[in-house]
Amino acid sequence: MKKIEIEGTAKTPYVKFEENGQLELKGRSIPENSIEFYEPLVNWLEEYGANPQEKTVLHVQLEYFNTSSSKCILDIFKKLEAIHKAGHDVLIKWYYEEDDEDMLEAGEDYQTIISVPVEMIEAEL
Amino acid sequence: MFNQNGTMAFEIQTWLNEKKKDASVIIEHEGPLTSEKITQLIDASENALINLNLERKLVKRFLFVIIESLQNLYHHSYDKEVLGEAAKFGIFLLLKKGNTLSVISGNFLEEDTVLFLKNRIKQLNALTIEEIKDLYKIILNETSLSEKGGGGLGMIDIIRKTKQPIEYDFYDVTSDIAFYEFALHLPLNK
Repeated sequence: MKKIEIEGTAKTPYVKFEENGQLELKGRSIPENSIEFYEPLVNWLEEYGANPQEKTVLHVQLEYFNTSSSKCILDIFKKLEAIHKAGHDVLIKWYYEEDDEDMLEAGEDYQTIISVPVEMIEAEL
Repeated sequence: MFNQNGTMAFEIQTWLNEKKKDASVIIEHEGPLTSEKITQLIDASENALINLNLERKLVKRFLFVIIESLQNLYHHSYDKEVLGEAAKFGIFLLLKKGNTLSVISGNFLEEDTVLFLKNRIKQLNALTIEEIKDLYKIILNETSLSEKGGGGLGMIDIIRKTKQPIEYDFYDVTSDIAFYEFALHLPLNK
């Protein structure tokens, strides 16, 4: 299947989803219509999930995101959860800036909702 | 200007002047909100917040509130002309008064949504922070996105992040239309 690579904009993140299982979401996610942006990514994961790599890693490095994005991000995580529940190795790496309690808390919230391992990483974004 | 009941009819400029009284106006917008306009207002707000020399985490937190307010206006402003103003008319203010930053928005909406919104905000303001955090996770996990946005998460997330109550008011405009004022006052040193 083809990889997805989308350049970031003022309101949408940079995305790179590769067939080798390395996935990246980076930047800002504040579109007015997040379903429009995220639906192709969710569909790609659905297709990828039919025949995933031995290991899938999603790097999430978001500066901030609006509440409609938070739901779409959860939809992505749930697709990864399905892959994980089918017995494949999946990891989400959640990056947050030093002292950014809000981003850390957001990652921890996702950690409690889904069964995929979520690793919190403090980094400069 | 008085309406037929002898009470003051709602006037946008009077409302605006009252909100801006004794405050420094950092950002002001009046009119329909397009996606492009929202981008401009977000950029202007971010620059203004950086110029206040706030900690980065506060800039991000305040910007979150600003983005949610603007996008609520975008999704929920009344889609027909009212009081000579164009469809999707909204007002956005970023004000500074002393050590407090205020995010204020105003939009027309249908009178029959007023009660729902009023009760919703009252309910949310009455919750403890722990209850808000739990509710946030429930709504995040269990409800789907509507065409209009975040499935009700926006206000919850605003209270969750800022730990400030939402202030609000409604003004009757016609028998079918009201003007909804949303305000959040953020201490600059937390």
